[in-house]
Amino acid sequence: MIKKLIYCASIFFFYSCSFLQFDDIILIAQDTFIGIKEIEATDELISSYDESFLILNVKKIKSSIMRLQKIVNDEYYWQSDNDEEIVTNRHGKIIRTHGLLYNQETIENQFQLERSNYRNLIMLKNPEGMLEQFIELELKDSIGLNSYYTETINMPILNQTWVNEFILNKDKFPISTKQKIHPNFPSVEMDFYFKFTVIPD
Amino acid sequence: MKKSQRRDFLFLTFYFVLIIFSFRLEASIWDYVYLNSEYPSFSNSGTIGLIQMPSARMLPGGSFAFSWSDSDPYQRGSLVGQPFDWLEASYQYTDINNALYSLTPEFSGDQTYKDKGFDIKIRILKESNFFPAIAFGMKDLAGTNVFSAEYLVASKKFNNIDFTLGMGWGAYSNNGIRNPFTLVDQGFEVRDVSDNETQGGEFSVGNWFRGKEVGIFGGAEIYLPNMKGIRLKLEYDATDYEKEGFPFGKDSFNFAFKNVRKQSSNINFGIVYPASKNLHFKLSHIKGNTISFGFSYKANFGKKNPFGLKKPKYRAVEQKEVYRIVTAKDDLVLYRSAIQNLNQRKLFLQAATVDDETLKIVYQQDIHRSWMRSTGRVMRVLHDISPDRIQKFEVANINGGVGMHSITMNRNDFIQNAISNTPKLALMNAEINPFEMDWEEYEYRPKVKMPDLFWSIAPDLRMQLGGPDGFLFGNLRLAITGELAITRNTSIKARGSIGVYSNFQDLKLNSDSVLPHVRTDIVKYLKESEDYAIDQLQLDRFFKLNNELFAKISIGYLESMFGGAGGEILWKPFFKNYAIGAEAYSVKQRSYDMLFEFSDYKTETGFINFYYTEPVSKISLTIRGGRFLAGDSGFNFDFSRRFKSGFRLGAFFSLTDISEYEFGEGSFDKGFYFFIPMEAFWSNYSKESAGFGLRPLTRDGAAALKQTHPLISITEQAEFKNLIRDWDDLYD
Repeated sequence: MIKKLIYCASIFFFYSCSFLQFDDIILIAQDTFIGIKEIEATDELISSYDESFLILNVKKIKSSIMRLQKIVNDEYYWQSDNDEEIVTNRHGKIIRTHGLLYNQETIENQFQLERSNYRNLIMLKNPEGMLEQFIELELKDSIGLNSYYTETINMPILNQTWVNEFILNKDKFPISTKQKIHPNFPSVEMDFYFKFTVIPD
Repeated sequence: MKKSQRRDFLFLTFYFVLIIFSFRLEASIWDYVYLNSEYPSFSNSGTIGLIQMPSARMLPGGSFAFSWSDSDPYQRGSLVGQPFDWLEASYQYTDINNALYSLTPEFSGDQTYKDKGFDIKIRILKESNFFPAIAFGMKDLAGTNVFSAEYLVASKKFNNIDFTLGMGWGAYSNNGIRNPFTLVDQGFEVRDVSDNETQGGEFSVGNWFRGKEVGIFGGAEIYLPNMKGIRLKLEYDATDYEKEGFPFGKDSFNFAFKNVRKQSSNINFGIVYPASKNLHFKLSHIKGNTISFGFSYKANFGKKNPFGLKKPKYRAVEQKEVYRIVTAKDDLVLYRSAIQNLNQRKLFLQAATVDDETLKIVYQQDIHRSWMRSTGRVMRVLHDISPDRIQKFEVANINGGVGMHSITMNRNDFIQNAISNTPKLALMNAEINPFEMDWEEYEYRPKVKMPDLFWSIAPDLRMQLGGPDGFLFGNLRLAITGELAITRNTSIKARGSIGVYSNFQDLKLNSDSVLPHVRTDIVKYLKESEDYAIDQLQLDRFFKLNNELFAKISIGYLESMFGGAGGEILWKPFFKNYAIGAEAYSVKQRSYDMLFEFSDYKTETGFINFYYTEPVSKISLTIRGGRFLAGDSGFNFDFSRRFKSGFRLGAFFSLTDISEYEFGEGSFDKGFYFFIPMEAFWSNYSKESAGFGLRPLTRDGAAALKQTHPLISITEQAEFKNLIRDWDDLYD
C-alpha cells in the first residue's frame, strides 16, 4: 500500500516536473530542501547602503533587506524591494506589517521600556481576528552598553505564550530582535543597521 | 430495551448534550482558536462528510481535492471537484481487497478488484441562522452499483460543533425506517443492484431512491479549541455493510475470496488532524471493529492566487524622465525604446506607429494568462517612455501572426486609475475591439529573425493506472519539445522523447474491441515506443479571413496515434458568447513504435462544433457533431467552467451510432478533466497548465483526434468576454 502511495506521489512529482526547465527544478529543489540562503551582513553590503536598513530572516523561508523609508510620529517604516513593509517603534518592536505571508497591526500599543507589564490589542490579518495580549517586559541582561530585553506575550484565548527578544544599544535603538508577530508565522529575526548622523528625537 | 436500542438511545442523548454545551466564541478569532478550520473534512467515502457518512457541507466553488482512505477491505482514492459552491462531483477509485480482478491468474495475477465510480452532491439549501444546509447526493452514479446509494442530508453548525442528520437509500439503508416513497408507489420497494444485461457504466435511474427501507444517519464534527485544529468526529452509521461491496465472499461475487468483516456497532468515532488548512490526516474506528485511516489535500483554485504566492510586480522603467526627453525628439527612438523595454519584460513588440497623438503598438506574449495584465504592463511601459505629446495608447495583440484584439485608452485616464488602482473606472473610457493585422499601417516593423527556434527539455511520464495487469505501469522519459517559427503564422511543432525507465513490458492487456482499434491498442503503443518516440511533428499555418473568421491547416504526425492532414475554420464574433466551427482531417494510424511508419488503417474524421458560454453561471458548453476516428458518428457534449486562477474543470460524454455492445465495457464514452494553472505553484507568471483527463475506460467508440492548437484556444483573447473577465488584472 505504501508502495502505491509512493507511486502516486511520484506520478504527480514527475508530471509537474514536465512543466519545468531543468534550471527551475534545481532552484526549486534547493529552496524546498535546503531553504532560502540567508543574507549575510558583510562589510561590503553594509557600506553599500546610504540609508538605514535591516536584514530580515524568517527561518530559511524568507531573507530580505528592508530600507528605512521614513519616520513618522516615532514610527519607523521599513520597506523591501518586494513591497513588504514593517513598521517598528524606535526600539525595534513591530507595530504592524504589510505584504508578508501573515500580517498584524497593533491597535493599542503600550510598549515602553519603562513599563514591565502592559496590555496590547492586535489585529491579525489573513484571516482577520482581534486579539488581546498580556505582556511582561524584562531587562534580562546588560552587555557593555547594550541591553537584552525579553517580552513575554501571553494570549489566554489561544492558550499560547510567545517570547520576543530585543538587543538594544546605549541609545535604546535596536541591534537585533527576534519577534513572533502571528500565530501562523515563524519568528521574524531582524538585524538593524542605522546610518543616522543625528539621532532622531 | 434491546442492547442495540440502548446504545442508540445513549448516542442520541450524547448528541443533544453536545448541542447544548457547544460553546460560543467571538467569530473574529475563531480561525485562530480552531486553527485550519476554514474547510470541512472528508469522509472515508471520498466526499465531504463525517466518518463513513456524507454531510451537507461543501468546499468553496473552484476547489479541487484528492482524498485517500483505508478502511478494510477498501482502499479508496478520490478526486473531488467543486464546479460551484453548491455542487460537489467526485471520481472514486476503489481497491476492493476481498475479491480478485479476475479468476484468470495469467491475465491479472493476484491483483485485487478495482471499482470506479462517480458521486455527486448538490446543496439545495444554504445554511442560515435558523435553517441547516441541506443537500442530496448520489454515490456510484454511473458505475457498477457496488456502492450505489442516494441520500438527503442536513448540517447545522452550533459554535464549534457541526451537526449532521440524514437519510439514505441503497447502501445507506441500514437500521432504518420504511422508504417514504413506497407510500406513494409500491414499485419503490424494488431495488435491483445486479444488472448483467448491460456493459456497466450507465445511470441506473430505475434504482434511485428505491428499496424497502431508508437508513437514518447522523453525527457531529467537533472542533477542539486551541488544539492545532484537531477535530473529533462521532457518527451513527447507516451503511448497510451487507449491501455494499461483496460482503459474503463467493456468494456475493464470483471473484470474491473472503467475507467482509461484519459490523458490530453502528457508532463510529474518529479524529481529524489538519496539518495545514489544506492537508488533513484522519484516523477512525468504524463498524465497532475496524480501524480506518487516510488523508486529503485540497486547494481552492476559485481564488485568483490559490496559494497566495507573490508574483513579480510591474517594474517601472528606470530614468523615465530621460527617456521622455529623448523620445520626444524622434519617433524612431520612441519605437526602439519601446521594443527594448517591452522585450525586457517578455512582451514582444511586433509593430509600432505614431498616429497624431496616439501611439499604436502591436505585441505578442506567452507569459501572462491574463491578457489584461499584459495589456496593462505594455501601457505602463509606454507611459514611462513616451513624450508628453502622446495622449492615447492603442495596444493590439496578435497570436500566430493573426490579430486578436486592440485596447485603446486615454493615457491620462490609464495612469490616474493606475495610481488609485481602480481598473473598473479605467474600463469606462476604454475601447475594446477586434483587431485585424495590417502591417502596412505601421511605420516601425522590426525585423524578426526567421526561422526562429524555441525548444525545451524536461522529464515526462507515461503511465497506465489501475489496469488488470497491475496497479501502475510507468515509463519515465526525457522529452524534447521544439517549435520552429517559419513565418509569423507558420510553425512546425515537434516533440520527441527517450525512455529512461519503464515497466511496460509486463503489460499484457490486449484490445477486445470490435471496432477499429483507434485507441484500445494503447498497450502496444506504450510497449513498442518505450525507448524512442516521435510524439508529434506537425506543421501548422494560421489565417484570419476577416474580423470574425479564423482558419488553420495542419499536416504531419498530429498526435501519438494518428498522422495526416486537415484543417479547421472558426467563426467567432468578437462581442458574442458563442462561436461555430468546423474541422476535417484525413488521417492514418501510426505504427506502434511511434516513429515514421503508418499502419493500414485510415479514415476521415470531421466535426461541426458549437461553443457557448452561459453568462451567469460561466459554464462553457461545447457540442461537437460529426464522424469519430473509428468511423462512428454522433455527438460529443462537453461542459466546463473556468475559474479566476485559470483552473478549468469539465466533464463530457458522447453519444454515437454504435451499440453498447460495440462500445464495450462502460456502455458509452464519458469522463471528466481538469487543467491546473502551473503559475499557482510558482512565484512567476506562466501560461502553462497541467491537464489531467480521466475516462473510466479507454475505448474506441467516440474517439476523436487530439489536437495541439485548436482554434478556440488559440483565439481565446479574441473574445470580448474573456478580456472583461480579466479586466481587474489591468494594474497587477
